Amino acid sequence: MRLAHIADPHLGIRQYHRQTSAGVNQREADVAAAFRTAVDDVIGQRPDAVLIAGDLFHSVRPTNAAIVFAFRQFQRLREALPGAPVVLIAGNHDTPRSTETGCILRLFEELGVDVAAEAARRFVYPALDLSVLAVPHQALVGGERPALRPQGPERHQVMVLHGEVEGLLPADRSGEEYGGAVVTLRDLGGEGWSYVALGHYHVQHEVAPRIWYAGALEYASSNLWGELVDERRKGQAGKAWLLADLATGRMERRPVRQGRPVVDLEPVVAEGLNAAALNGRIAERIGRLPGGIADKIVRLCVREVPRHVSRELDHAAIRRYKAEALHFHLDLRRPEITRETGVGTPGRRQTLPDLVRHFLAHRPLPAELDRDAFVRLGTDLIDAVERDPAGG
Amino acid sequence: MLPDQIRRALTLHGLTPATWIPDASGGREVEATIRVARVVEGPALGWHPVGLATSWTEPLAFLDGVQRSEIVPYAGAAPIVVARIAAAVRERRDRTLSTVLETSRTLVIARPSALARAGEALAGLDTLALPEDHPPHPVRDLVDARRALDRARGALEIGLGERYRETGDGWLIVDGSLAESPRWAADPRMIGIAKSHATLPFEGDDLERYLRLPHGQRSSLFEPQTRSLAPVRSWALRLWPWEGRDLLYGLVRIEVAPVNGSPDAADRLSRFLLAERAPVSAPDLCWDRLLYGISAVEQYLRARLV
Amino acid sequence: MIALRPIGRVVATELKPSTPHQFYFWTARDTPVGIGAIVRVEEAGRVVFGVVTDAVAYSDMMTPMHAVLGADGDPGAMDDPTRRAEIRLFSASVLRQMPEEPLQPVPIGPVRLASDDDVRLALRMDAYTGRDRATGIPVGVYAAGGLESPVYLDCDFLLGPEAAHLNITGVSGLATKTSAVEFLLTSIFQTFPVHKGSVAAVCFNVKGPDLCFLDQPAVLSDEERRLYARLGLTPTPFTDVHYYAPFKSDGVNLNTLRSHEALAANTRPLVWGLREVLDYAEVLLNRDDVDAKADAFIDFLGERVVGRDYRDDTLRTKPFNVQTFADLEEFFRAIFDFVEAMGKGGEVWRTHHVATIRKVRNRLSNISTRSKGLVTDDGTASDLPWGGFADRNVYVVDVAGLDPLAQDLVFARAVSRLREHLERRDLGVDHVVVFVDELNKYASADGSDTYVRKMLLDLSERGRYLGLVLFSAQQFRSQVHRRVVGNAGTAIYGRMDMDELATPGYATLSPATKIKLATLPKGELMIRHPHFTQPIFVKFPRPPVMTSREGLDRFPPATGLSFPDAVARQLRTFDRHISTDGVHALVEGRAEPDVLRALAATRRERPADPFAFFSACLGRRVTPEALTTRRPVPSIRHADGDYGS
Repeated sequence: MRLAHIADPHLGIRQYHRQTSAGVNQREADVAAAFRTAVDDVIGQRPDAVLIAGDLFHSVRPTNAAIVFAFRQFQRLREALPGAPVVLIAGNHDTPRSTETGCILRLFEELGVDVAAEAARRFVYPALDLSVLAVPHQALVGGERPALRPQGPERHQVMVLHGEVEGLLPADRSGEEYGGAVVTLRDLGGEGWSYVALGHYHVQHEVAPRIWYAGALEYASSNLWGELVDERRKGQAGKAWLLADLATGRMERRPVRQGRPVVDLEPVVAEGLNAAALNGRIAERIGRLPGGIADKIVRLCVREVPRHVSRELDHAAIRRYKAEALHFHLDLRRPEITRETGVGTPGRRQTLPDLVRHFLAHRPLPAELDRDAFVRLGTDLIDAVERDPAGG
Repeated sequence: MLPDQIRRALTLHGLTPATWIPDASGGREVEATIRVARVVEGPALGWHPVGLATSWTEPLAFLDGVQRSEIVPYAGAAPIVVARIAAAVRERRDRTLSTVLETSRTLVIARPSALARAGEALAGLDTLALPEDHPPHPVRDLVDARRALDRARGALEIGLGERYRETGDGWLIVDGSLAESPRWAADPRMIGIAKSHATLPFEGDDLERYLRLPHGQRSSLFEPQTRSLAPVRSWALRLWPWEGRDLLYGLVRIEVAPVNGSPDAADRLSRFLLAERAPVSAPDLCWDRLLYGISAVEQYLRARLV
Repeated sequence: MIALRPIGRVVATELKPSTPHQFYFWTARDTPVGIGAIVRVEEAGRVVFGVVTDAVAYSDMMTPMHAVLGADGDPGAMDDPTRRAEIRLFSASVLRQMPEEPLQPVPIGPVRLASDDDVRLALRMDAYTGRDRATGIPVGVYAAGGLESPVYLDCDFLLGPEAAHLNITGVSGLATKTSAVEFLLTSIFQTFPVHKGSVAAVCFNVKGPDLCFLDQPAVLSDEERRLYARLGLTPTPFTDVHYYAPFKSDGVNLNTLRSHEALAANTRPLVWGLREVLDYAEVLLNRDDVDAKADAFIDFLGERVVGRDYRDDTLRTKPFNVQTFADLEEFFRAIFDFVEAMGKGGEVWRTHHVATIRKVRNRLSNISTRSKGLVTDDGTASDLPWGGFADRNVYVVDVAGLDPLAQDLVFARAVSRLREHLERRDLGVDHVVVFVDELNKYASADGSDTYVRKMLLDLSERGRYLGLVLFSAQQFRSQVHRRVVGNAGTAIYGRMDMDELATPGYATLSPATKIKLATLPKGELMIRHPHFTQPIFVKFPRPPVMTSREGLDRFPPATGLSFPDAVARQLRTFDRHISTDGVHALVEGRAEPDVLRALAATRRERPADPFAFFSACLGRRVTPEALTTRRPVPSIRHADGDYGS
């Protein structure tokens, strides 16, 4: 029994302002290309079943083009692998906020795709001796959760679920970047599953033996720099889908080529540098990137930049970099706000209001104080200070 | 007034203080003699088993007296003796003794001339004058004083016994002879127990027979020859086996009024008295003859007399 | 004050003189005076109160031989016709002299039995009873010669701050110790003065059903009710009692003899997670080895590893987040794997020797396996209401079913938490009485210097400043650490073992007092209290709570409940309308650990609808949909277009 585990294609995502010659947002085209590449590879590998672990679309109402594209890819899959069930669940991105909206994923049922859009469903495939518990995002956040446990006599007990395993991300990142339903490892009930295919976290990750996030097919999260850091830490380069062999327990990473590089340049520390020197340092960093920054997604982090230096930078040059790259982000950080929360998120910038909010939300308070009101008051004050014209 | 106080008073009065406590100051002194008695039971003195000891069920009282004397000063060569005498009756009910009557006196005994020299230092005290038919002699005067004291104590006991008799008709056992008092000698509920054998009632073979009386037996009844006018009936009773000890060991002489002088009455009373051997009256040296009840009266009086 | 008739007279001889602290008196043969009686001697403006400590009687018989002679060697001979003169001579220790200065020998005068007022004066109770802001706590009645007077302890000296702590000694089996504590707690709860603040009690039930029925009424005799009235108390059981017991190893049946369903409402589980255990892991270690290295490693675990992300790339790339014993085991395994991989020279990991690490791991995993019912693996805890203690409430922690090590752990942690909260003044009450039986086990005079013993010493020496008061009991006081018993301001003795009384600690007691102690009837005690210069005997009524024997008859423990039944029982403590059948249907086919977790969550959350919450925790079952046939997919000819290019 071999399973193809794809997660988080985020079809229809629109980022940055560049379009393809066909008038499609470049990033939208990039993710579509990645999905198609993955489908091609899946077909080539001929797995016994295909699991898509949520966030097929980036939004609840994707563009018609994205819908049509997806329809075609599923048609290809089904046609090429007629005996392989395709199980598709909704993620937090493609789950409608209200039931009246209706879920576009149901469309793919017409192609014989087994879809769990709102409630959890248990698909049993007697021919494969396979049971798949499909747990979409909504099943975890609305009302009574399903029991996330193997059930029935089938030899292969598989779960596909879209959500965040508690502890995977630092508390300050999970809500902001992902906003998914949180499940604990214990909720997943590690014992007894043949395989658990997770979606939601965009970096490939083994939560526990036989419990995996496949990772997204493209850099599609709101904090792609954090994604990059996590990948670097895990020694991963780029994106992939997973081919799981349940008999041997072997996991095969099937890389998916990206449309364009995403580059986080080595940060510059501006302490003691004047504007001219800093301009030079920025140019030097960009110049060192092989192939330049053209059409790439690039960030350069500059730390310890005093306000007056940042005002005097060569903004014309910066505009040029921005035009050349698909996306160029010059991340200038003033000395007083370069503090990090210290929970293993280097490179992740927290603004002063963020810090204040976080601090106020966690500091011990007398029981009679309303914490929400307290935090609100504090953040209002800090906002007022930030808006002070003298503060730039 | 205590002897010491009297001593101080007399010394202040110019008399010579003394501290001598005469021998046997605590008890009477009797001369050893034989006065042959008349056997009234059977032809000759014999032995009669009395049977097993029997508890005395009726109320019973004991009477005894004590005395204590010392020479306080000398008036010239004549001693002045201060003595305290006391007597008590302790009655036994439910095996427990309690004192029902008691009396005591302090006496100053001396020649009248000596008493006169003491003058007002003895004011308020009872005095007893010794005869002055010979010149003062410190030792002889003391013997005279002791005799007088014995008489005084005897009188005290008799008076108390008579007072007791006024309160009821229970049995009263006295230490010594009943013949001292005609009323005692006639009292049908009194028993005298003499443990001193200074005066013996027989001589010759009879005496030997008398002294070899076996344990648990009594002698034949006899009438002691007495100078007094009160006739009593008497017999000897051996309370403890004497063999291997002494002829007098455990031997007491009982006196009762003639009305109780029948052999049956003697046997009955002897059985009662045998039961009175216990508890023994040790540490008294005469515990083989001294009944516990008598001893208890003495103890009581001595504790009071201190 | 009506002067009672004298019952004796002081005697003083050169061999038996009166002193300022002791005197002798004789009485009639038939006298109400006995050992422990309080007497009053009054002579020439001086009043002396004493307590009878010894007595002799003898007759005027010289030697036993005279008895033999008198009976003619026959023990069966009739009684002597005259009873010998005999004496009853009592010795008494002075309780108080009035005036106190100049202190002089006891005068030779008549002796009377003490009246109510005399007892109050003799025991110096006038200083703390019968006035404004009185601090007297009735402990029983002193009774002698038909007189009966209430005796009070001074709560300033019982519960602090002047002195504190109470220690009870007595043979086991008479229930004196437990009864005395139950009665005294009743008394404290009913009479502890308002101006002294609030008070609660935490009782450790260390054996059998001793303290299992504190909230159930006793059947008391009229005499006992009269005693309550005499002491100004009401014979009612404790109204606010909270029981805490660990589970049995099945994780769902409570390990207590108080498991009858009718008593379930205030019987809660005591369950601790890794964090709770780790904070007191020292307890587990120093039973046979005090080891600074192990302590250091435990500190490292507590401060750096447990409950937070711990990253060590040499062990594994993913950070550890140790929340449970299972997580901890995984962490240990990673260390051992690493050390093993290092081969020779790899005996040390981060300055901790592998033997130390193994020892700590063994001790920790030991407690989690041996005390499965107390220590849970899922990190959830059900604990005493720290910070929410209420006035005149009793919290009973039933550890009778736990192994000794776990008992130590429970005890150490509970007392430490009490101490921490009292230090911060946020426990919810001002004073807490902690009752521990079998003190010789926890603070033995010999034996190793355990954490628990150190803690008890600290509690005895400093607890009174905090309002943390130890009521302890044991069979053999001589086997308890001197400083623990020595610091108990008040000591109570029930019936004692003669061998125990022969130990040096009781040397100050007279032989007669010892005999009295050795034969003391149920319901009588000897008390030492700072205000009493001599030990005093008192009578106390049975406590107003059901005896354990009767409790077990009336409320037989639920034995061997099936797993679903036990779960239903637990759920019904939250909502008594939950049906067993409903629970059966819900848990059928579920894994037990899942059910236990759901139960723990329900207990923790205390939701409005416990059954619904419990059900939600377990999760909805998902009905299988069998997919056997699959319709063919139509071919699509046209290409993708240039959307994804």
